[in-house]
Amino acid sequence: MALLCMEHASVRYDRFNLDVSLNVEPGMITGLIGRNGSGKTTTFKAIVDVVRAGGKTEIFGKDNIRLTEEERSQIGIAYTDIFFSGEYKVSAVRRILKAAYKNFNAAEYDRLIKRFDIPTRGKIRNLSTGELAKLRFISAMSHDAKLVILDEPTSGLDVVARDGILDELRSYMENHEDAAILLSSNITQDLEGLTDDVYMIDEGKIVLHENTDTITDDYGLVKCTAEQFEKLDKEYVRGFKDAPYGKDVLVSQKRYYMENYPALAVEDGTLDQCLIVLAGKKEDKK
Amino acid sequence: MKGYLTYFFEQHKRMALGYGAMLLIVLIFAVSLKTTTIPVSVAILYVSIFASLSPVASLNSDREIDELLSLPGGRKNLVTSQYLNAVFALLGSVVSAALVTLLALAFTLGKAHLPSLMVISLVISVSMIITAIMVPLSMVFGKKGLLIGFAATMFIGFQTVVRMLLTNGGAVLFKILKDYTVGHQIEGISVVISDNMALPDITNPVSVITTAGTAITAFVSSYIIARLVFSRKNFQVNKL
Repeated sequence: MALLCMEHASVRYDRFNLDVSLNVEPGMITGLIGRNGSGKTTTFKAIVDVVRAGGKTEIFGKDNIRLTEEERSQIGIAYTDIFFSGEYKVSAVRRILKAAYKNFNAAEYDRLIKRFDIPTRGKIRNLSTGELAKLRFISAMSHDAKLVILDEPTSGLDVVARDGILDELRSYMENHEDAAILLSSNITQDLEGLTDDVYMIDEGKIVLHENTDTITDDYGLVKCTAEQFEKLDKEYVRGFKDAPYGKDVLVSQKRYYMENYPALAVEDGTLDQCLIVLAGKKEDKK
Repeated sequence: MKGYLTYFFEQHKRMALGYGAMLLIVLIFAVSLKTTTIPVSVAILYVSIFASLSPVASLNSDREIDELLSLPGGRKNLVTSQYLNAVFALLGSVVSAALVTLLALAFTLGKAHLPSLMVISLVISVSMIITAIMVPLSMVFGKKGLLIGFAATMFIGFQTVVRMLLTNGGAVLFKILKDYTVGHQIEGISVVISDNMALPDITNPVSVITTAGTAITAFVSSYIIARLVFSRKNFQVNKL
């Protein structure tokens, strides 16, 4: 059973409509990528009913708005734009989490605070951007949650801290085999080495869902002129965008094109390429 | 629930501590001077301002609402928070109303210090005018109503001040300031000020009750308007 199942979860704003379907399976790390403003944070808010969505959103097999407090405490969540007031002392975060989460793991919280070198004296507003990002991450990871949802957990962090966060996520999954993590990041390299499954969202809709290994192993970027593109077999073409020399074509079977079009340059697939082609295509039209 | 209460405690403890500390200082001041006129006036002024602000202070910002919703209690946190805020707002209104009554009684009995009383009267009068004009306008016309109400309030407030200064009140104020600076107490002048500021007849119990009722209405209204202005999400719990 999927720990999280969204089917046409929809949120309507004046200039933006979200309509998302995705599954997060136990034992897996699922990535959600997309441009700024594509709907990642709104999706995360809809999951835990911070924003009420239409359609279906089930967590642990139950409608998300009917979860009990105990079930909700099995969810660890960190947003980029929501956290305790900057006027709170850092030490208050521990007290609130301890009171709010039944499974709060004080030893784990203290270990992470020490590992990421978070100053526990003083107010939250005095923390640096990186320290605040790490504290948000720690808050989501310290109560043995079955479903962890992290919105841009590595945003604003230096490479060492990012590496530390990614290490902790891997370690979490080793120690919590039935748990699942859903995370977003603009740094797609982080997701390539970490996630099992990736969804791409653009303008509020899922435009790509693939196993991460499939993207890195099978996807490719074919570089061709406009004439070559006309003659190209489009069966495995997932998208394309204009390039100075002609077209960048995202294909889901790079070997097919390498064998059948030896004259064309084919690069290995990356999440960045998927994002640039699938989201950039609309940018070109604009 | 336990999580939310801890959150609430952390949210308000500094304000409560500051509030208590200031009152304590005023009380110590009163005891040390062995007189109650000036300290009580200051205390009334202080408490009335803070009491009238308490509904605003107890509001959740949109960000805090999101944080409450993401904690395990979810929407229950928000509902609890709304009830607690309502209780605090009500307390603020009741305290303010009680102070208006106390103020009016002190005014009549000549027990409090006049310049402070004038400031308090002005603050409370302006607050009442604001709520009386702006609440219905904002309810009917939304943000535009707020702007119209604000303009009307400014106009009426300006008229009131001008009227006060141009009539006998200006002369009285000048005399008070003059006497105050040379260290004289003024006796028997409160009635003159009362007339000029159009305060109700405090010797009449009905008038006192009316004043208190008006004050309660005004401050409950200010609570509603504050919520409209500062946090529309508070009204949209089921639509978030």
